[in-house]
Amino acid sequence: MKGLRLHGAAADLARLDALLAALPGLADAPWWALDDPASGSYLLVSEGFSSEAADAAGVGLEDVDPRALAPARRAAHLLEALRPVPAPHDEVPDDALFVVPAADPAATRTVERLLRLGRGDATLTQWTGPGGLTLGIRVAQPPLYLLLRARDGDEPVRAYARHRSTSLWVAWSFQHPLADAAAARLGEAGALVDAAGPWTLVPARGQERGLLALTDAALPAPIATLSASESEPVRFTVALRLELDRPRPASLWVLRPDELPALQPLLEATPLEGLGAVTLARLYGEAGVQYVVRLRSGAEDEGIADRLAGLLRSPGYVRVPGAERIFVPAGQRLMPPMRIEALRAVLQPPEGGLAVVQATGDGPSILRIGPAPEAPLRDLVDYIALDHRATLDALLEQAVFAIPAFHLDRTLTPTRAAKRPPPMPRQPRVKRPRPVAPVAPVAGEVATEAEQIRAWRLEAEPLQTRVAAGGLTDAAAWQRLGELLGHLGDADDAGLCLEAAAFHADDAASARAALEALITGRMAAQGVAAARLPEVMLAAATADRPGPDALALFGAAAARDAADGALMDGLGPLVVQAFAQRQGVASRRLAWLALRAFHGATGDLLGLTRAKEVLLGALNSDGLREAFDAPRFVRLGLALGGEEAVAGAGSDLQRAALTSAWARLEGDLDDLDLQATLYRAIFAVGFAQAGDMSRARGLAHDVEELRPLFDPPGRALLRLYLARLECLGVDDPGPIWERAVAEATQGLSSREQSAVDFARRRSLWLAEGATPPRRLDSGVEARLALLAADADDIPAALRAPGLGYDYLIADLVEGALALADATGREALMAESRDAALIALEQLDIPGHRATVIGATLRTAALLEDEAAVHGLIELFMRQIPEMESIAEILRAVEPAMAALRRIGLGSEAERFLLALRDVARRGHREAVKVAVFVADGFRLLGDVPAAERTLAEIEQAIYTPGLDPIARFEGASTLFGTLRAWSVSAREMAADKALESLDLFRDNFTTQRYFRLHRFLLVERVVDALSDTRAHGGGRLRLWLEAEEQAVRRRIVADWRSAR
Amino acid sequence: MAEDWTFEALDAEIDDIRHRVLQHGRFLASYFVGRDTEAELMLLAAATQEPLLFAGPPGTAKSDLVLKFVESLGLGGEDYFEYMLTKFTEPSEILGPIDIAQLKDGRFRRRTRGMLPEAKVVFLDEIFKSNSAILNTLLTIVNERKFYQDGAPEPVQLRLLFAATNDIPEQSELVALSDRFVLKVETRPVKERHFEALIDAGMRTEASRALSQRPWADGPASFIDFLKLKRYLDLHFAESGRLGDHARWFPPAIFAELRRIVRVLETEDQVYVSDRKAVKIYKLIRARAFLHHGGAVQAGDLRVLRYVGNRRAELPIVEEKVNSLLGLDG
Repeated sequence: MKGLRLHGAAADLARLDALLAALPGLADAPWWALDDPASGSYLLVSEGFSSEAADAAGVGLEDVDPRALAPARRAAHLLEALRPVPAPHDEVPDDALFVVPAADPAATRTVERLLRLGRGDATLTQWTGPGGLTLGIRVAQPPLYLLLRARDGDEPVRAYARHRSTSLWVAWSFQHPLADAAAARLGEAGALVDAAGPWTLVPARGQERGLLALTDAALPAPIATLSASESEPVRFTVALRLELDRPRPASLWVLRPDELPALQPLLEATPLEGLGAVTLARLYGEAGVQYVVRLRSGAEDEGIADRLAGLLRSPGYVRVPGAERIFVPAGQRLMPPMRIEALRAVLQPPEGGLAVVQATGDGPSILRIGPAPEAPLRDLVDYIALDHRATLDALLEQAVFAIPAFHLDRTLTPTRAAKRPPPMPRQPRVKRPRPVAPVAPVAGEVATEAEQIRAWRLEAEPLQTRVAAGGLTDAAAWQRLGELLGHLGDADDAGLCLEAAAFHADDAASARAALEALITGRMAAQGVAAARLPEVMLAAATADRPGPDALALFGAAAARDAADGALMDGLGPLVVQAFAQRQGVASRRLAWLALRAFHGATGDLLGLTRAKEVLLGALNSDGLREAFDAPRFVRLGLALGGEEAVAGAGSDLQRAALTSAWARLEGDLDDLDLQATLYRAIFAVGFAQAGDMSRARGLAHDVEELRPLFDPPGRALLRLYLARLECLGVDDPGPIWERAVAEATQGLSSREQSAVDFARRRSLWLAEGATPPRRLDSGVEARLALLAADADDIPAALRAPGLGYDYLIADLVEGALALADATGREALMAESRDAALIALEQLDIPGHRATVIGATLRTAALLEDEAAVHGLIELFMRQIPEMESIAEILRAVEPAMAALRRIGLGSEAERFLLALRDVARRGHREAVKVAVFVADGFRLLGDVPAAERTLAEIEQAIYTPGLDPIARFEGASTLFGTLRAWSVSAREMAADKALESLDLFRDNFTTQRYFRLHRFLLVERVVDALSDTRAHGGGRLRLWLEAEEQAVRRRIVADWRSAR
Repeated sequence: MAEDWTFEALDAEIDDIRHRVLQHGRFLASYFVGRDTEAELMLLAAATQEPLLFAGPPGTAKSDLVLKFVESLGLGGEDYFEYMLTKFTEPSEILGPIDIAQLKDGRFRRRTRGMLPEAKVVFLDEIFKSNSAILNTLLTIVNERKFYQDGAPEPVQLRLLFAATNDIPEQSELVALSDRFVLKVETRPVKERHFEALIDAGMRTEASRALSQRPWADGPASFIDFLKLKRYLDLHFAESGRLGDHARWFPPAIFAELRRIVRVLETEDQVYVSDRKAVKIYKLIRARAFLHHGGAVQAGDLRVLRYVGNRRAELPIVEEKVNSLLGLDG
């Protein structure tokens, strides 16, 4: 006979397709499958085979000798005849079925194992077949151990994994080559498909019952029974004792008669009303007369108790809480605690009286005080007026005529006249500001104010667009824009534009004109009259922390005056002090203007060089700063640009994207499922981030309602997401978050805590506090601190690091090069770079070598040393194949790429990206991360088509079935982390694909018994990307600042060179 | 010399040796509170000459365990070397100072008397604080049992290596050394549960030392016993390998269980088990089975897996996980 040989490979399906196309009726015809153990393949034979038709279809059949093969397995149709193939990974399925004969001890053992592993959530179904009663134990996200045991063990337990949501169950770690078709064929039945191929048909929906409900627990232990005894009950005697307690103000004292006078100061100092709160009773007992002083109830806190205790030198007694008539010494309590009735029965206070427990050397003693009349102290005080007036009068009479003698000195020395104050410093002649010519109104129309404003705006708009493109060096454009913005009342932006105009001006006159306009505008905005300008300059120069406005005016005026040779005496050093600093609050352009003017006027080339180094060092470290170097219209405009319109906390497009994503997800969710509730919580945070608080609150409310239904780890995570929601918009969320974490994790067992911590460490929003931040080694930190104090030592320190481990050397090199860059001194930077390459030779571990190369590359880029950059890129490329971790590559590459862009070496940056793209295409486990970096790199270089092509490759890689679960998740995580900076439409498209493919994201962690970690973490990443409102605008602004930085650098260096 | 011991000669006395060694473990544990596990692992480490790492905070008897163990074996003086490492520790402090006289003749040799290369038992405290110079030397010593004098390898006397650490680092440079310690046990403080017993035992030890008494020095087993045990195991494994009768000593069902547990640890808890470590684990389980009941591996012998974690945070998780998996069959 003829048969079709199948090998369990993908090519089988193509041959089957061809065969069925030629003989369509074969699909439903009976088949026989014969295994060929020698080759591992199997043959399919059908009566409906026609060799001719098969040959015509190009499907080769072969002769079959059934005697040489394993016994045939009959199958009702082709799908049943096909043998499952091994799955690429042993993944834990969402739904597993353990099938075992009910009578076999393995059934009980399987149930026991499930219960011991805490999986009482499993359900049981049963059916009767030829082999007798069979049990099916269904477990969601089953323990991997049980799956392995079923597959590899020697018990008659078989494990099956459910294919999607169908009633087809395939032997675990195998997959049916045409699973969808097989499932579709089943209809109302279910099927268990063994690894060898045979199908067992079972009811699709049997009655399922919970495992715990069907389990009768037994305790095989001897039982002993106790019954009530008739004898007298045992009684115990416990001696009460006094023990230290928190201090409370006393309200009772027992005094001897000789102690009573101690009250005198109280009587003399306390007003009558106050004395009404204190009562005194005189009593008589075995010890003779004693007095009881009491404070009215409620008066203990009025300070009288402390005063009494001080005067009486006795802490007194306090009431026992809940017992009005029982007192114990202040600062003590009776132990053991007893009910008040029992205490009364022991102490037996007299009717209407008190029982006072006193502390003696032998232990407590009881003083029983019978009822006695108590009188308030005020009723017991007689006041006497003590009038010494007669004595005083007599003294006065004596004193009137008893004036003591005195001596009058007539020889007074005249005082010298006060010195004349020193003359004021010479004030420079204040020039009248040049009036600005108003813009002519639109021709042919009456120039009303509104129309004038409109005209200015229309003229300003194209100029703003040119500025927003970045890197504009047209001084005239900057000047005109500054003037227009000044007219429109935007003094701050006008000032920045005029600073740029002066900075980029090609001749002194243009620069001066820009400065004049700048000064006029600043003075007007700050309400400074011309005559006060010197005073204001002096104040700004000498202030500890001058504000940006004051400093800006000072800088502009100083630049103008210095250029005119008219800078006030003494102001020069103050100019240097104010502007030659890295973290000053003036724009970099203004700082250079002021410093250049001052050093230029004084001919101080060394000072100019130092100023250049400081400013270039500042640019090397921090670049241009959004707050001080970018006009507001640029900041807003870049966020406003393109398709989005930012409004407050988020854009309409973002909210729409979130709504659409939630709608897509919500439809498939089971309301009472923890996973669904986690998604709800995540979307609640996302909507809040995007500014849709009402929807956020609605989802949060649902989450809060459902939270008690879940296991402790699930409840903890939900609580943490809700806490994250509460923290949004709070200035200092730290204490709120810490409290929330403590509350959420309280009472968790160690296993549950481990699960929650495991999830938190991998979460974007819940990780705060879960992982300690990476710190440098203390030795490296100390050395960097020394190098920061004396940067000249950096090259020597790098040539001979003297550190034992590669990672220490790499950290030292990275930190030291950053310090060298911050000096702005090219010679030092170059020497440090060369020294770093010497240090590189000491390193063996590829990841650390890459870090050093990356840091060195950054320095070379800042030096604009293209040859060195090229060489280092080549060196880095050679390093990549040896590196084990992509994270290491990216960590090393990122700062270098940023430097290449900032310096304008875009071609080198692009070459780097293309080389990295080749790395990504080699199929490394973490290749997706590299690809994401490459896509974003292209985007930052402005090559959007390349970025989008790479993005498409990434998505194809991530959503390919058969990819390792961890690689899939990490790839998607990296993708969405980067997509935050992309347009909303790009994010939305990526989100759609991710949510559509959510089922592909699995994990095999221990946490799976509580939640599907990768799935909800992926949803978190998606929602975070959709709702992020800063990265996109921030990214565009960063590009603008980088373009501006290039222009600023070039100008500074050009000015410096021309001054030499 | 150990190499002179034949299988036949050892076979005649191996059961006695085994019993003495087990008794020795109980004897050692009796001088501590709540350290039965550590004592048992020390026996196993000594029987197989595999390094053992104690991970725990200071003051949890790590050093005392090793010292008493050494003394109980009748070792002392130059047979035992102990040192606490810091990042400033120089090789000469553990390997011995350079011999100046020989250096003048142009030979770079160290004077190793009383130092690590000549010690049979070594305890290194805070082992991961060592710098790379010592690290590289240690790796050679642990892997190849030799160190280099004047460029030429010389065998070390080291048989038993114990080490202690407060934390297990994750830097790649130190992972290589960490991986050499297949067995890592977390030593936890015991005073919460055994306060009174701890005080009693501690005071007895203090008093003994003060009076220069060492009641633990007279243990049932000797160092030679452990050497013979190791030799016997090596010969036994070799014979077993020759005959191909692994299944006889490690029943397939138990072997499958071993494989499952390792797989679960790797997959669910991300515990990395290198190929080398897998082989060592197998050997340790076989050794434990022989030591405790002289026969084939039983399910209980798999408890060695409790101590195969890598990072400090993993140790309690692995221990609990293995306990729960091994307890599934009652």
